[in-house]
Amino acid sequence: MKSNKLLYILLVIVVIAQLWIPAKMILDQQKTIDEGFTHQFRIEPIDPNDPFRGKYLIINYEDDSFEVDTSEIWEQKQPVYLTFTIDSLGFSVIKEVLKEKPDSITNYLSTKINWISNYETKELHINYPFKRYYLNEVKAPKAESIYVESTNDSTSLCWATVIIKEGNAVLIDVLIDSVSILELVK
Amino acid sequence: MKFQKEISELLTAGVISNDTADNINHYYLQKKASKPNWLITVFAILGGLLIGLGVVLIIAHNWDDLSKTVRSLLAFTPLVIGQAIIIFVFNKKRKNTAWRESSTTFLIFAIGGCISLISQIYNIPGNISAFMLTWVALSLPLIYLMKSSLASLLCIAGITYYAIETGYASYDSHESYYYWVLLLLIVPHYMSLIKQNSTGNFAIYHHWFIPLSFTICLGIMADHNEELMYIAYTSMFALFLQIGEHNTFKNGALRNNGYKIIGSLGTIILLLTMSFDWFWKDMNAFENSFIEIITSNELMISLAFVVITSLFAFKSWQQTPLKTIKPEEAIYIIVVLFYLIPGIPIVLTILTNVIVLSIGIITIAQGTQKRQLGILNYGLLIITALVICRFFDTDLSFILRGILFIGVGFGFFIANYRFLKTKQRHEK
Repeated sequence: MKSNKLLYILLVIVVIAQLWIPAKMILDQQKTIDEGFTHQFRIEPIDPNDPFRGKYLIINYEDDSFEVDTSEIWEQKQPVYLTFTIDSLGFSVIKEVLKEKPDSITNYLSTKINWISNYETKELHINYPFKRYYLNEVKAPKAESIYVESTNDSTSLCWATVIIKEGNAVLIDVLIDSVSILELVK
Repeated sequence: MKFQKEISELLTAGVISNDTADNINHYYLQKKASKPNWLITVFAILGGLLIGLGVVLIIAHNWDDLSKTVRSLLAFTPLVIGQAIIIFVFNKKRKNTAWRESSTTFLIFAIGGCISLISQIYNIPGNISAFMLTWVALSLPLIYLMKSSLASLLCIAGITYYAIETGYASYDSHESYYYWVLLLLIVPHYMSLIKQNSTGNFAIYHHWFIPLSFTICLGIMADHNEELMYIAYTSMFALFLQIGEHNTFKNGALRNNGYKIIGSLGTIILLLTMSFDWFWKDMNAFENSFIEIITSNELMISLAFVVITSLFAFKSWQQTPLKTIKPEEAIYIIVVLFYLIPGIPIVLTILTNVIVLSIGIITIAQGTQKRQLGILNYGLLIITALVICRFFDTDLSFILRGILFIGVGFGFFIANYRFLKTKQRHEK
């Protein structure tokens, strides 16, 4: 009977854990949205053959590399912390790439180095975690063609709105000339 | 039933009396009644799997017409239903295998579906390996709480996929070490399955899943000294062969013995790879420093497998006559020696070819001795595979290669013909 009671308690703990994990995912995202800093990142033109995998758009960002001193030692897949500044057009660009978590600010992104190029200068190519934008499968083909056309049209301004707080990021929207892609596919 | 027809025949022929016929009927009817109805269990599990897969398929559908709150609630619904069913089964139907297995299966898929849906609804960044790790970690306790073997098999599949993603598909393979921890957590359930019924269906599936998972995932330990992994692999396959010869598998069919089949095939495939001259030439060019080798993961895992296999071998060979020991069980010792003793590549290549040929011949001899056509043909296949490999990398003329193939082909026919003739003579 005692072992039965213990098993029942363990079952309840497991059930709570199974509910808690997805709930915590929501809470963490919501906390970032409520208390985070809004950034707008420019999207770069993409290869029209496959911007869409499954039911999400793959977003490539223009500012995804950062030049560092050639004497500095960095490794592929190394965790890094990015801080941002605003450029003349109001878009967020990488200000610093840090090896340690910054103490005094909360407006930083936690990510990893994708790869390092070592030609004339040393450049860290960053792996942004907010590369996927999920869309309704019925609207997907139209969204795909609008996305491809706009990113390859140099007169069109395309960007993603991302909220960042304490290393976490939430991709809120993809905009083309200030109009949400969700509005454009309606 | 078939035997009832036989009983009527024997009764008519006066071979058995009425009482004996009644006793036989009664015995078989009782035996049938005490067997669990596996058909119900299978259909229940299939039902659970299909419902669960239906839940997972929902991750392909995006519900942007509903608010995030409603979508989140809907995402949690299958999970909550699954948990309610589990609690019901735990309280009222714990002894019923069909209920236990199907409800656990449904819950496992509901967990995966919930996490996936939440990730989509909130555009939560993440990679497949983190998702798999979370999914398996939340599902694993169900193996023991619900005594579910299907949960165990699903978890093994899950951690294998996780290991492939982290160990092979990414540059940073350190996270893949969780694979070993998770597999270790599943082993006690496997042990209890063997203890209860080592020839039952679930145990048999585990006899395949576990060695297959090991075979697929051992390579995640490879880093900068992958040449050493051949020692780990040959030792691991030798260990599988040892396990396959254990009493647990003595009375079962060969197809139920995943360890033996994977151990044997794995060893032969590795040896055939090592029979090419480029293999030993590349080994000769292996120039990593002593410190790098001594501190490498590859050396540690190789040493671990060599030690474990040797301990197993020592224990089992003490009780086994020398002539019944399979040569593949000892191959790992030869491979270790080839690595330790520096040799000329061509000599090592020839020796490896001789070893493969010898294994083929010994297997044919064992097949003939035990009067098992399958083993005899396996030996012939080993020799054929060796000949095919040499076809591609030697400079023999086409005529000579043709003669070799014809020779092996004739060998196949003659060996099988003589075997069947001898078998027929003995049966007469």
